[in-house]
Amino acid sequence: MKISDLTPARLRERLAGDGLKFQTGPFVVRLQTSLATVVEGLGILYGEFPLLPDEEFADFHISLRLPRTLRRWIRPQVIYSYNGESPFPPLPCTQAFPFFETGLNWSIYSEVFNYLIIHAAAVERGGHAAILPAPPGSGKSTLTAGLIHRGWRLLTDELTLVSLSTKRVVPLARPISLKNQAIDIIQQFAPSSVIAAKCCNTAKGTVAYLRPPAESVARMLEPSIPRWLIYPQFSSNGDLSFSALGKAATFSRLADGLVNYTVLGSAGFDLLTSLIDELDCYEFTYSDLGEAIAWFDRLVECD
Amino acid sequence: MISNSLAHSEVHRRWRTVEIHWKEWDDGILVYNASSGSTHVLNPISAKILKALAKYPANIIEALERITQDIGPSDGEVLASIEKFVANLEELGLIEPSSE
Repeated sequence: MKISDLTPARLRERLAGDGLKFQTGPFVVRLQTSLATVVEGLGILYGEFPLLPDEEFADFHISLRLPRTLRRWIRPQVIYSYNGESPFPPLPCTQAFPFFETGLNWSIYSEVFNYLIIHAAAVERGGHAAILPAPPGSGKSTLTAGLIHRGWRLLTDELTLVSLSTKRVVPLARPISLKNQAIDIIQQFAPSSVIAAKCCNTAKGTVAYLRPPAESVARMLEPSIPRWLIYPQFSSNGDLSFSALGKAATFSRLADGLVNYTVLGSAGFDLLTSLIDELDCYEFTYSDLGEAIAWFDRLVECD
Repeated sequence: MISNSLAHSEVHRRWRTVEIHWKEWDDGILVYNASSGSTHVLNPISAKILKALAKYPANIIEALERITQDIGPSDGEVLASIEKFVANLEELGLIEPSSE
């Protein structure tokens, strides 16, 4: 059964009651909320995700609720709770859905230690994964959104999970966070894409989430062999360019985006160095999304 | 001649490596310090010193001899700075004084 099998009324009822359990990649999330924006966002963006029975074990127990103070009514705020704790200060209620997404990211990288977690997007084609680590504003999510509308499978937009035991990239396939101009770019590039309501004035500007393709969600338990590591950078003026990155340089550069590397100890070092050994690593600058995707396609053809 | 530039106590102090994991690539050498959990990218000279000390504990002169065997005597100017490299490796926690 999928979340979209529930009627809107039943979805609202389940979320407001004991909570809704659903699967995202290797994890089970139990979400409780009666906030309309979160209910609506979940219905639009997570419709294809498997719904799990109440008795299923949940890795993450999350609730989003209004505070029991005047902030419930005056410029209302929302509280993110994870396993009964509230690790963040409240945010404006209008940011409830992005709060759920970023809060869930935080919960994953705070608790998950059987994967090396890289702050990076990842897409797959022909069984091989391209990992795209990049700082905010680099055009990573825009490129990822473009690729998944041209034949690549979405593995993740934010947290790349590399299994410590198999060295494979394990998908999460959650919605893609588009920011500011990227929202219009993807709407024009892929008119059939489903993008939820915009949320303005967040820490990252205007944010809207893109629904992951049904096929990516259906295959979210299917890992991929890491093959490329590519640092994308959008540049509004300039030709497409790329250059190979040395292995040690890649390691040094990647260090900033390693979420749980220090916790994993020598296992993390051994995994990461052997992973980089097997990857082709590039810096990549693009100004045109179509050209960028063609370059990615050539990677697969030449492999 | 090199030993004349080093303090007497430093010359005789013996060093050993802590537990480290290595990775060598064309563009750099990485070491992971299992005690501290820190990872470092080493320059070639520091890496050679560390490797020399990893074989068995040695003082600076002995380490110098091992490196000289490896890279040859023409690198005398670089080798004169060995004391600084050793001090840096100690600061990074990659080597420690040895009683052996």
